[in-house]
This record gives sequence, C-alpha cells and structure tokens, in this order.
Amino acid sequence: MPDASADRIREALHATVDHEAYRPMPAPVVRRARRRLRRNVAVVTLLGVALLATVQAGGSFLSDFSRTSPAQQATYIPDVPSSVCCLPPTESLVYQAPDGSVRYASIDDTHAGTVLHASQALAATPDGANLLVVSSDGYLGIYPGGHDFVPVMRTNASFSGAAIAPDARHVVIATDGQLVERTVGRAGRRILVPVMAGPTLRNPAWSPDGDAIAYIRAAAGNDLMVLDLATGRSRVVLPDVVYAAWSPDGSRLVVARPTSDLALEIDVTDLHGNLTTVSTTPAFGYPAWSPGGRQIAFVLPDGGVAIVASDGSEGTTRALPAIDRHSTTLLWMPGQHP
Amino acid sequence: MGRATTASMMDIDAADATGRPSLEELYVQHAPAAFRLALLLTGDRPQAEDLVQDAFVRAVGRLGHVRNADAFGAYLRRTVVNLTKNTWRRRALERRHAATLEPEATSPDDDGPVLERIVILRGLASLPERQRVAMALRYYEDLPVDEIASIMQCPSGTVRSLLSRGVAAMRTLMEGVPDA
Repeated sequence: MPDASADRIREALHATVDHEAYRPMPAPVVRRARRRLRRNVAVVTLLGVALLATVQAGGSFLSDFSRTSPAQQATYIPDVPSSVCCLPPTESLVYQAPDGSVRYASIDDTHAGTVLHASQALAATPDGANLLVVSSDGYLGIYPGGHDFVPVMRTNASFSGAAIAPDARHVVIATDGQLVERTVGRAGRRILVPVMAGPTLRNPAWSPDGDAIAYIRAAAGNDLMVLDLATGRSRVVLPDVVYAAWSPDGSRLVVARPTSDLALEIDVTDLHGNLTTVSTTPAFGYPAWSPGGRQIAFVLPDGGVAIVASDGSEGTTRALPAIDRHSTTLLWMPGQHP
Repeated sequence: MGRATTASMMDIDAADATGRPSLEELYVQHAPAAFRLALLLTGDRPQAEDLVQDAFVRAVGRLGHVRNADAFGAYLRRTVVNLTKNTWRRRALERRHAATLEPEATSPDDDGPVLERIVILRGLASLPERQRVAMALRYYEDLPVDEIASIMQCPSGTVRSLLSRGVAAMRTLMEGVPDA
C-alpha cells in the first residue's frame, strides 16, 4: 500500500469529518440508558432466580432421569393379558413357572393358575394385596392385580433384590452394591446403606411393622444384617446367610444358609442370632413364612415344595404344577377376599 | 451473574463518588468521536446521530464494559460498527423490496456540485461495506490491524486485504481532487 495514498486518505477523512460539529445532548439518551439498565437489572435478577430454581428442581429431576424413574418420566404399563386372575380366597403359594409367568397354587389344592405373565415376583405386602415384581423387560414395579402396574424403576445388571414396605408406598432396592429406598410415584431416592468398599448388599426384606430391613452383606462371607430405619444403623445378626424372610410377627427370621454340597439349609433365627434348625432337608430355593407364622415352605431340588413347622417339629412335601425348578423365589400369600 | 454485577450497575447509574464518570459524562466524552465514525460509515448525519444514541444505550446495557471509561470508548466504537452493519442489512432488504416496486432508481451522479468532502464521503460510501468499515477504522480511528480484525471478527489477513482494495478504490476516486 503506497504511503502517500494512505496518508492522503487519512488526511481527507479527518478533514471531511472532524469539522462536523456534534453537540451531545445527553439527557434523552441517558434516560433511555437508565431504563435499559433497570431492565437489565430486572432481567439478570429474574434469570438468576430462574437458574437457581432450575438447578434445585431440575437437578434432582435430571439426576433421577439418569437413574430412570418411569414413575416420573412416563408411566410404563406392561402388556398384561386380560387372562390374569386374582389370587384365591385361601392361602396360596406363589412361584415361578418355566414359561416366565408367576403362578399360584392354593395350599388346600383347590385353586391354581397364573397371577402375571412375563414377570418375576420378588416380594409381597403382608396383606398380600400388592406384589413387587420385575417385568420381563426389567422394570421393577408394584402389581396390585388386574391390569395395573405401578413402575418404580428400571433395573440394571447390578440389581440384587428388592422388597416392598407394608404400606406399599415404599420399595427398598439392592442395586449398585447399596440399599436405596424409593417412594412410589415420586422422583428421587434415599440411600439407606451406601456403597462400602468391598461388600455388596443384596436380598433386602422389609419387616412386617415397617421399622427394619433385613439384608445380606456379601463380601468374603455373607452376613445377615438388620437395618433400623429409625436410627439408620445396621448390625450383624448372623454370618453365612444368603437369604432371610421375616416371620409375620417380626420377631424372627427364616434364613437360607449355604451348605457344603451347594444346597441350602433352612433355619430360624431371632434378632440376636440365636439359631434353630427347622429342616435337615436340603433346600434349593429360598424359604417363605406362612401368614400365620406356624409353617415355612421352601423349594426342594426336585421341584417339589417342603412345608415344615417353624419349630421344626413336623414337615410334609407337595408338588406344585409347572414350577421352575431353577427358581429360588417362593411367596406364601394370605387368602384374598375381594 | 450475581449481586456484584447488580451493584456495579447501580453504581454506574448513580454517578458515584469514587471518581468514575456518570452516564452523562460518559456520553459527553465519547459520543462526538462515535458520531464522526458513524458519519463516515453511513455518510448520513441524521442516521449517524441515531446510531450513536442507540449504540450508547446498548453499550451502557453491557455493564461489564462500563466499569472502565477507556474501555467504554472502544466498546462504543465496536457497537457503532455492529449497529451500522445491521442498518446496512436492513437497507439492503429495503432496497431489494423497493426495486420490485420502482422501475428505475435515480443515479447518485445526478447529485449537485462535486466538493472534496462529498467526494470523500461518497467515495467511502461507494466501497463495499466491509471495506468501508476497515478503511474508517484504520485511517480515521488509526486502529491497528489486529484490533480491526477483532472488531470485524475476521482474520488480520482479511483486514489487510480489505484495506488494500479500499485504498486502491479510494485512490481512483480521489484522482480528480486536488491535494489538501
């Protein structure tokens, strides 16, 4: 660029414009500027408040979104066929069939049928009105009968059992190595027992009074723990336990303990770890307590079901139609009176 | 954005006792220079006055730049350039719309006597918009190329190219005008 031209342009521009008089009249402009300032203050304040509200409200929503709470995001209703029937008026055993359905058979052998298709029953409320189930596509939810399904969360590979509170409004889930509680129909979760270095937690069982949760702390051994929900403290009740179910009065627990031949031994313990053997018959599945508390049932290696007195005094066996011999879950439901 | 920003907004608005200029003082101090730049860019006095006022209001709204009176001048200049470009865009749309309504536009060569300042202003106005901005910022505001590039949001090489072409075009236009 030739300097002479540039200098001439520079001089020309200044000569052209510099003499242009301009008398600033600040009053109207400053009034506009002040209005804009005030508007900006209001906008900034509003944005700040909105941001705070979003962080507080949306944060939990987003974190919960990542944890998949179908109850909040969208109601998931599994395809439940209309052939689902209600449980009979007499006590019944609920178990898993090889076709993936949940079946029932009344204790008095008068009724049998399907409770729910394509699901797995995990637990029930003491009154038998609600089943906690996992659908075939992995949704944990509450099934109160008919075509209803109340989704709680989607399970993942770390899911290790769940239990339902007696009021059917809370569910405790063993997942990601810890125990978490979810309130039905609400977002968010409460960690009851956090992840600890080493052990993972599994197979929770909610006490009939709703005040405690039994669970298994699995590490080098398997300890039966009881969590006091009032204090948030857990204590060891018994070592070498893989599963526990509360007695109806909440004073004892029936436990499944591994034996050297890969079977299970069924015992009863009080809350201080005082053990009573109720059956010397090797068990394959987990035990269930009768609603009256006098008997205990468990699945045998041949697919039959043993029913023994809770004090170990007597026992019988019986067959169940279409039972999945590899399923461990067994529930003893009270009679239903619609 | 928090309380501190809000407080600084209020401080500026209130023409504080800490020695910082009030809005009135800022306007009186920076508006004339901004007006002359706007006049160079638009070639139209009423429009330049409007632009300066709009730019001032807008610049004051961005309060982070108002804390320092020196920085305010640079920010006001940048705002003038941006608003001018917006005006050009709007005008281009209007012209396109008008062209569909009017059969023929009048030629600018039909305007009255050719004076030096008119030649300069019209010469600058005849440049493409980006050349005009680069020329005004370089040869009137005396800004370095890098700062012009920052204002125009383009590489420095692009600014040099714009300036080179602008000088060539202006030189041609000024050939018939005697040296000042």
